[in-house]
Amino acid sequence: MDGFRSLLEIEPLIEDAFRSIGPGKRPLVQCERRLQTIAFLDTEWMGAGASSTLTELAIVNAAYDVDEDAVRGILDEYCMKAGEKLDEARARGALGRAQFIVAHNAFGCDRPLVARYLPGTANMNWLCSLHGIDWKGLLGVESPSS
Amino acid sequence: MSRARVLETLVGKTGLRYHQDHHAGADARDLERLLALKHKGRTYLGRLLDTSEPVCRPLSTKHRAKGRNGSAPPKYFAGFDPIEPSFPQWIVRTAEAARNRKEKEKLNVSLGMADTFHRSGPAGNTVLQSLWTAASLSAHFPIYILPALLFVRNGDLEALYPAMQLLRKGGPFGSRLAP
Repeated sequence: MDGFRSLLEIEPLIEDAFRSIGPGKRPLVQCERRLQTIAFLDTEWMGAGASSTLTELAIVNAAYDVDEDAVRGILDEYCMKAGEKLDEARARGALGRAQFIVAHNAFGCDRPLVARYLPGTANMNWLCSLHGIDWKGLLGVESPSS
Repeated sequence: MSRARVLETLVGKTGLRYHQDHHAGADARDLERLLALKHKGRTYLGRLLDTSEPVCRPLSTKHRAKGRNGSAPPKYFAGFDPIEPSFPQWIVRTAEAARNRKEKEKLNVSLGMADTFHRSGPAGNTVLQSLWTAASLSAHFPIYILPALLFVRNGDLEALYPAMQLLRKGGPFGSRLAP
């Protein structure tokens, strides 16, 4: 437990340093909220099937408060507009930081399309908001497959 | 029914103003706004996440059985679980976040760590809170966070010692902390 005693010895010094820095620069640490980063993804494309071409890509990373069941804010956003070149590093970074990637019809469209441009992303945690939510039961909206 | 049409119908049903037409470009904000809405006390996003397997796994049986300092044993880590095999990958992500000070990933991480600190009992709470704050302010972010993660994984306070030795030598605050 020598290490632990050493920690306790210098802990007041650290606290003093924090106070001298000022409250405005001190990050919030004492919180029990559980946040998850959710990437909302939308694509536009041309063509069909394996020959389809990604023309636009939008990714919004949002912080989701699990305990409060609320989206707390936007963390990051990437948008590739038509005619622009895909910034692979930025897009991959945004998706990589998310615990879940949510897209409307993710498995039928977005995931395979994005995986062709960003290999490896197919193995991430994708969720489909089209089929993963009982829209018909909740809102009476007809399923697209019905 | 096209995907855009379905989304438009859903957005209309929820009462959210819909700005996107069928020829509009990709817009993930629409989807985010839609799923952030609450329906009967639960967001659509929350309902969707309910269908997924939990990313945050329970602590090991060792931690569950003991608890720490008499406190209730933690059930989940927030957004990460250093016990599972993805631990090294998470470290890489943390390091990436450290390189870019604007990364908001740190917020998620810090809250997760704070959760762990708090549940570790008074001593662990104080020490790890200080460690985390030092890490947040330091250019040596990974150096401090790695021992903290080892602590979380092993429940071993000794794992924190190298990082705190570094702090004692100066760390992010220069010589002011030197005894």
